[in-house]
Amino acid sequence: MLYIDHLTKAYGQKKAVDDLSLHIAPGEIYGFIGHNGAGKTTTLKSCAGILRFDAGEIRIDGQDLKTNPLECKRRIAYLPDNPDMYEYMSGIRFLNFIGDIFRVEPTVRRERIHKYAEMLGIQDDLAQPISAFSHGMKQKLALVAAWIHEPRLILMDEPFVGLDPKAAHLLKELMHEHCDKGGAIFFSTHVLDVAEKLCDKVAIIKEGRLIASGSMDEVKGNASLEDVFLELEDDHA
Amino acid sequence: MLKPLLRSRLEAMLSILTGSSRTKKAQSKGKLVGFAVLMILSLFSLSTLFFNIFDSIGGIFQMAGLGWLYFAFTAVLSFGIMLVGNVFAAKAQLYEARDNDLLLSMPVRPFHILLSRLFLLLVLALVLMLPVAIPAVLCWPGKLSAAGWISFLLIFLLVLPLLNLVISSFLGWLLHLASTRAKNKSLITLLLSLGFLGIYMYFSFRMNSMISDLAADPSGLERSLGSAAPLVWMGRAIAEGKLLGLIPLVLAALVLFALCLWLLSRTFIQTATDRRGAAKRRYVERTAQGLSPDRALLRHELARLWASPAYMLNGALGSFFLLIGAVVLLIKGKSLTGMPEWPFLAQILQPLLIVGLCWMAATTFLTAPSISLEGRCLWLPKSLPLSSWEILRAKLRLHMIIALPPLAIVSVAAALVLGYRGALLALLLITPLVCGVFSGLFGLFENLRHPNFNWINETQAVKSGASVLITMFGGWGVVAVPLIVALIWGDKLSVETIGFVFLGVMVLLCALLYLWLRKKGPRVFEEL
Repeated sequence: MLYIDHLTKAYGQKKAVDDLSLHIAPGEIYGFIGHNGAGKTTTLKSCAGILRFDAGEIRIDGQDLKTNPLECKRRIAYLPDNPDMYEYMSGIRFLNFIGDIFRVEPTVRRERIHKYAEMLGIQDDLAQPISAFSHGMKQKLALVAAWIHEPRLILMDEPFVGLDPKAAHLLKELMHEHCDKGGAIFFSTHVLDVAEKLCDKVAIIKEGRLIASGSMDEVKGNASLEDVFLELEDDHA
Repeated sequence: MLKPLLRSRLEAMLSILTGSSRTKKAQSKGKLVGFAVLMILSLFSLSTLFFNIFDSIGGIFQMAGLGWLYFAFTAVLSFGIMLVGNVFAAKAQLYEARDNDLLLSMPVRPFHILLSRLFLLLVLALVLMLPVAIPAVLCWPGKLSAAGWISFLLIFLLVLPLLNLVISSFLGWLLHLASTRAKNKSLITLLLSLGFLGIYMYFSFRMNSMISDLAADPSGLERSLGSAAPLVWMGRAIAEGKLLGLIPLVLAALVLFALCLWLLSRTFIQTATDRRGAAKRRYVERTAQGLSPDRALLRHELARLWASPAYMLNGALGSFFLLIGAVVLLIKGKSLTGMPEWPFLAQILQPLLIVGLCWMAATTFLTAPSISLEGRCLWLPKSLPLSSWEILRAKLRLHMIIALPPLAIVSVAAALVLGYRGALLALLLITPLVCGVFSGLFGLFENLRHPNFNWINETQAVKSGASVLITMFGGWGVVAVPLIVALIWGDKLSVETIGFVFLGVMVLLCALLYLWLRKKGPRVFEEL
């Protein structure tokens, strides 16, 4: 589903991502962990087509991101760590805007908005301007927007930040449901407990370089993910 | 902690003015000098305007022994300009700044945050006032005494700026209340802003006749202002050196400012964190009408424009005036053709109106801040399945939809009323539209080169970004070229020749800009 091969992205002289390779298969929930500034967001943004990368290759569902970016973007949804959206729009208008861009048929769109907005508890607030939404509500609105076109691959940057416990639980259910249907999820997190319980595979990044990746059992063995992460961080210091 | 706050306010203002907020790096010396020259030129042209006014009335007032009236008039004029310029800045800085939450969470006294914001408003007030006050004192043919000079400095550097801060803080608060509590915030803010602008324009348009009236009969103004004791005290203090008369004014300004400061500091946290809005609307589910991505993008651009009175007023002001101009032309246009006292004007009226319309076309520049306005939401269009050209084209389309119809309407109205024929008719119908297209293309080109995503309040993006200033002044500069050519070679070249050469050059510039935007624009956008 997502094929990252020797991805390199530099800001000036500093390499934010250095020769990173990953492969995410359909049905997988792939966790991406690393300290602040390790290169997680840059990797996710590069995969979402937001940032141009300097070298390497990214393929989404068989499509090359560099040569066919629009086809790739039609297959993905991206959630940033800070859900900044058009504040002058109402929630429903924003969702309809996203639906229009992804050409989601109006009746299908209505059903999906109803399903996910109701599930996340923001259905009644959709007529409100986004500027009146709290951080958590914006996060939920971004989640509804991400699911509205049923993407094949969902890229999420710290999706659990700002969500209340119930919404976090629902998000985990949504993630499982999405992958059970053959989709894939690649998300970054600092919450290692969540990553350990939720992910099929995990990658650890430090200073732009991948220092460990594979199935959860392969990476952590009998230890906890937290212990392995801290140990690897020290080993590569 | 006050010093770093003051420094950050000034740095933010300078970085916006110099365009360095894009790269987060220090701007090159050449660019800094360029922007400094641009700013100085703007202030210089404003000063020249007021210099001409004061130069024409100074001698008359001195001869009539009405020196006090001359300086009272200067005070009123500079106060008015400070107020118009500062009310919206006060609304944005004191009541709607986006960094209030961040600053309030830091170990900074709220009072210092407030002081830093008032300091910025004070700097703005002084910048706006100096182009009036300096020409006034330079044009005064009499000699000021030492007490007169002290009074001048006290009034223009202390009394008026402090009173201005008090009144603009109050009016800014009223605007903030109206715009946050009302259901249709944009409309109310737009109407209030247009009201302010209307008053300003009324006085601007009547300035010449008012100056003539003043020069012919200063006693009229004396009767109006003479009943306002503080103005008389101010005028006498400067012109006649009666310093004692200033004491109550200085005291009043200080007391009022202290009161304002006390009130603002007591309510600052509540105002800064107030999130009350209009009554909550409950969503009623219904099936939306599906739109194509192109139409959805255009609708999004229109929604952004409609939601932002600052964007409408700064980027589309020319279009507002053009629509008013079309009505005025249809009603009063005939009177322009028959002016026996101005035979020369009647002769050049037709080509001059074409230049005027081109100038108005350059006053609408919706594309110039359009990329900056994406701000922190830039990730959104970039992550959607839209080509960069589709995103840029939607911004261009918005400009064309708002800018071109009013230009076409005024051109047709002018053709009907003023009886354009032949080549001039063709120039009238085509040239302003081409200038409108140029303004849109040039604005987008400039915003791609000088985007500003670090704004705290969107007013900064639409009002003072480098792209906005360059587009506006650049557009006006381009339109001035045929006028300059006509002034220099008018005896050798016909108006039609100059017009068609200008039209040809503008079409060529539009083609070059379009090609750049089509070929390089998407790439530049993707790099942002």
